[in-house]
Amino acid sequence: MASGRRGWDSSHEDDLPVYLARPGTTDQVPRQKYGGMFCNVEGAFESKTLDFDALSVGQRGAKTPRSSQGSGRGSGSRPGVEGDTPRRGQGREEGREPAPASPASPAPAGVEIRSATGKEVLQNLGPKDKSDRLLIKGGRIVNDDQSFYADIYMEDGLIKQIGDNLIVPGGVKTIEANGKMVIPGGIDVHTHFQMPYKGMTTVDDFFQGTKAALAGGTTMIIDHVVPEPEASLTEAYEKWREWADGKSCCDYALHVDITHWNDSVKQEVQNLIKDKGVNSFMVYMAYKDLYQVSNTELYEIFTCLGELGAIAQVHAENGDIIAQEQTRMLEMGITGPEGHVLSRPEELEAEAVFRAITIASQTNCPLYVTKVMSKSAADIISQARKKGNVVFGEPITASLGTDGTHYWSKNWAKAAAFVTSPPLSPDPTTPDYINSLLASGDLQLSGSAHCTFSTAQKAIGKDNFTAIPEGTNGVEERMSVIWDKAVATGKMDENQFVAVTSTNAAKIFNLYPRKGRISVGSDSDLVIWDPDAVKIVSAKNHQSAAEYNIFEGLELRGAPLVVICQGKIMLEDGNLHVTQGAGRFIPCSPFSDYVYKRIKARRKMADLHAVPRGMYDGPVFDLTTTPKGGTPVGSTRGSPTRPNPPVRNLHQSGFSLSGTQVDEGVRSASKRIVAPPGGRSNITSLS
Amino acid sequence: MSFQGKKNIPRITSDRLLIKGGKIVNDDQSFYADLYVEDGLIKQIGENLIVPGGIKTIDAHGLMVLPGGVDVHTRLQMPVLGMTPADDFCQGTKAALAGGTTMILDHVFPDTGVSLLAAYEQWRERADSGACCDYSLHVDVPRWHESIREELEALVKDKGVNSFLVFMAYKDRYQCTDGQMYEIFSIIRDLGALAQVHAENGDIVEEEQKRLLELGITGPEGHVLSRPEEVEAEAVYRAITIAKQANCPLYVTKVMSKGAADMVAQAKRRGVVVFGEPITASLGTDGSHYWSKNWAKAAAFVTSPPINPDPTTADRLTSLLSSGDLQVTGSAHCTFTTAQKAVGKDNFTLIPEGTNGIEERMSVVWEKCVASGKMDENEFVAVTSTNAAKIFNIYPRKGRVAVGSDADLVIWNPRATKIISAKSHNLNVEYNIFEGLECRGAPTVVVSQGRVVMEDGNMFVTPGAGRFIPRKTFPDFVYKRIKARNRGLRRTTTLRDARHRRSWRPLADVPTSPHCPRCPRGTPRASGVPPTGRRLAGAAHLT
Repeated sequence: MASGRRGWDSSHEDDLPVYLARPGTTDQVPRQKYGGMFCNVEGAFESKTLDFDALSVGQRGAKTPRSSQGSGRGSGSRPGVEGDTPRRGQGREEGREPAPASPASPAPAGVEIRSATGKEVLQNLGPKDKSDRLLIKGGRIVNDDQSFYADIYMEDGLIKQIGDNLIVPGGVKTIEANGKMVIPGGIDVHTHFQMPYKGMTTVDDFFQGTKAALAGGTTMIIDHVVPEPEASLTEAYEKWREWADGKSCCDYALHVDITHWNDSVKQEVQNLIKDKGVNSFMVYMAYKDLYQVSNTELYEIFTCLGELGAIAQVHAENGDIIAQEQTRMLEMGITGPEGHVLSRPEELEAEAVFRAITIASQTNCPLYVTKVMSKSAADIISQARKKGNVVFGEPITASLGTDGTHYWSKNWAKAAAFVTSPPLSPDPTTPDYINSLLASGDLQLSGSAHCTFSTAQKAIGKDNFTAIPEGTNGVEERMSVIWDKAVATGKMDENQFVAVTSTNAAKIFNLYPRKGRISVGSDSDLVIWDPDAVKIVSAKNHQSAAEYNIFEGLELRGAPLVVICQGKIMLEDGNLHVTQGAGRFIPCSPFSDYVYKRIKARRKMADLHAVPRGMYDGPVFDLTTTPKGGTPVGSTRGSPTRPNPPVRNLHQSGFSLSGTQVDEGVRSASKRIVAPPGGRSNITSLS
Repeated sequence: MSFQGKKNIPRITSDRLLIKGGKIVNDDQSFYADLYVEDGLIKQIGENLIVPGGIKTIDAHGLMVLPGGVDVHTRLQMPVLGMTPADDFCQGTKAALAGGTTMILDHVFPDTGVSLLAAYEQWRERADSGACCDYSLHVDVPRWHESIREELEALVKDKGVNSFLVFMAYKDRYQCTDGQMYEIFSIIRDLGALAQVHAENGDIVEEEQKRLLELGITGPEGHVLSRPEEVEAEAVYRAITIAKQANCPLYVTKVMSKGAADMVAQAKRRGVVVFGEPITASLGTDGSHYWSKNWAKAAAFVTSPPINPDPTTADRLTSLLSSGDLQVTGSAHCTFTTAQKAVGKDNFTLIPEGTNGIEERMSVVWEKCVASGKMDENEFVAVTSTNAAKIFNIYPRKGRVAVGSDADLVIWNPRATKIISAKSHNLNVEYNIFEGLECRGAPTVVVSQGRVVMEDGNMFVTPGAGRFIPRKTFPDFVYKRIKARNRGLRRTTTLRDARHRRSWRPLADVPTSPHCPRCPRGTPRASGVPPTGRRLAGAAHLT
């Protein structure tokens, strides 16, 4: 191509008028390689493994070394890939055009895992030294900022090298990604595994739940510790740690919910932040008389968290009004799950979000709104961000993937399965809207709020919707739902997908770049993602122990092909290889940069100063002059006791009816005014 | 103007009056006509009126004849820490008349231990003997108690009150919780009255006050710093949410900031029945004076919500007032002398709150809105008088120049110019927050109950002449929409109810044991624990 072009140029060169001809020669000037104004720093690319050709995002076919028609450079320069170039080529064709695979490719689509020793060792069944080493070849690495082609070498659960032509020890297990996307493993920021609730426990414990997470491409979860009201936060935290350490299959971290507030809780919060690796605490604005905290407490909690560098999460709903509405619904005879959504209208969620934002902005504390379920709540968050508030919004799988029309289902079990708080909005356009805000960055991350109860457990509330235990599934479906609703529809690109499913979460909770990014030194939590896989969600084949799936029948494009967690292959070809208890607790340190940089800067700016004024030396109304005479007509029907300022006799007025028309100061004798000599004046005390 | 004899005016011809040649301005149209007043009512409007001879005639050529202003918010008797405002009913209403306002709606504030009814009677007594112009009363509900419904009902049924104010601020004193607000709003809706709110988040204000005092900020600037705009906007938003939920019309008193005004405007666009009342202070001045080195001056501006320090606020509020997003104007007139304000000289939280504005209201609105070209004279009449009369159900008796209406009229001179000053105002207070503001537009003659009470700056008022104007419930202007929605709501809920009953059948298949016998896949805790879930659920959600 290049030579042809030059031929064209030279053939027409003579036709050019003189004034268009360049001085000197009309030939292309050879590019200056060193020392020129536009040259790279000398040696800048030496000993770098990045293949900058591969950085050409979005033009997979354009890259010569990887296409099957590539020159000798590609195959010749890479050790250990001899002979598989053609196969890879076919695989790449597959990736580009999903359905009509070329007839010459009998190999199944997707990826191929093989051990270099010839032994097919998939799991850590083989010798340990081998299982720890893993090479992903030919994948397209997708981070939140860019995508590029490179190989990844992992060892000891960490990513050791990224680039082309990696020098790796022999005998590593190799995964041929065939141009498929390699993304950082998902982080589910909101789960309730094994949560005790009124003597029951959610059906998905840490094992079942994390297994489902891994099956869906999520390699880390952040679970909520929910202490009983009046119980110790630390004890609850230890309990959760114990459960999770024993059962979790993937890494996890913990949020702690603040269900009541006093000085000892404050102390516990400090300890949890300092010693226990917790940097986020959730408070409830709903569940009156159970978890709900008052505005004053919110203010104090936010102030405290802001000082300690933690993130304040809120469950945003106006609990007072909900309690009233619930009573009203039950009085009207509405006892089914539709009462749940009727008693918790969208406005109450938006109102609470707005209030939380106001209090957080007042206390200069970063705010994180869990479970954004409605358009108006999402709008409030996006408006607040535009005003400059440090606020994050977390839509969940349920709000992104389905809507609340099912609350009116005639099947009680189905309707009850959707019960969660805030409820799914009955407006069917809500998921689309929330996906758009997620794509535009107005909402930043996604959780699942996975908290599943069996139908038998839900049926506790069969005669009273307020007793139905709340929670929906979603940990397994989260990644696919977002891919299907947002990426496949063209709302967001693959990089934004990574951002909202993983990177932003890691940044907010200060796990970045250990989690949430594919880079050297990061944990090797990776997902090889197949954007073309189509899966139908069903309770029949999901990993969760719940018998109902709220996404039942939903057809989702995009699914994980291979899931690697801690450097081990957890999912491959639809087979899960999980180890109970393999998950580690990942401590989160406070003052996450992503969140607190702005907060810190504002703190410096926000110093308040009093106006320097002299002492006020004018007259002061004498408050001790209590009114004489009888007390006013007291009401027998008193108000709830409020011992308060002196009762004033309303019959004794400061005004005497003189009928005068002249403007003169009229004061009663009962008020003693210490007037300065010289009569009334505007009292000034200029300093 | 021609007189028969100045000395006889009040006695002989006071109830017969002819206004000739003026332009009559209502909220819908303006036209030239003469106007004949007798017995305190407008009897005839038109050209070439046949009137009895020998009556007082006012020549209004080149002037406008407006319905007298209705000031929807005054506190002329507000008790604070045992002090009463410097301007009581007599002085306050005199100032009102001087400014062209011929009716006020005062707030009854029941002090500790005083029932709503008793407080109402106290106010009636004070006002009946003192007021120079007609008045009506709002009743504040500063405390929640069990028998509140009966009290409100009595006030509505027998006492001619159709609006009640609840406080979202003043923690531990008057503040209502959200749940109480919901209940009060529901009662108010059932009674056909109007719910007013003082919208500020009292919890946050309280915390901020503590913080500022700790920081050593004790002057009036602490007042505004502890009550930022967001706190007002938040409360407005919450009040709107609760009112919408309770399907109750809402009236936000004292809209002082852009944030709050925008909330009201947005809610209106969403279809919520909500009214916003900016006050003279928020329309005419700004809160930069809180930082004045003159403590007395700074303290004079202290009111809640505070006057916003953003100097563009007044401009936005007047724009929203012109566009109809805000509907009425009040003054929230509640003045304290500097000596009284000085009670809080070392602690801004003790400064008694309130600013003047009753006298300046009409002129400030004219200057800021009409003279600047934001609204026309008809809209001016709407926001200063007619809308208020409609909302509070005294229309067309008040708020309109029409045959049969009360003869509360203002002959307005749009070309007059006046500089507001404490030296010349009709108030007892020694500080005027609008000091030095030059206003175009001023009343030349004010007629109240058919009597000339102000003419060329001379006041002829009679304390005690003011009548109490009882107000009926279910004002059309407010309740038409609410009623329709109530009907709609009832229909849909029963429908859902029915549907729910039908859906009860399939439930039989569901394993519905309240014991939660075994959670299918091994959750050991569930089986072991006795079924206390039910009782807990009740406790959690139903209380």
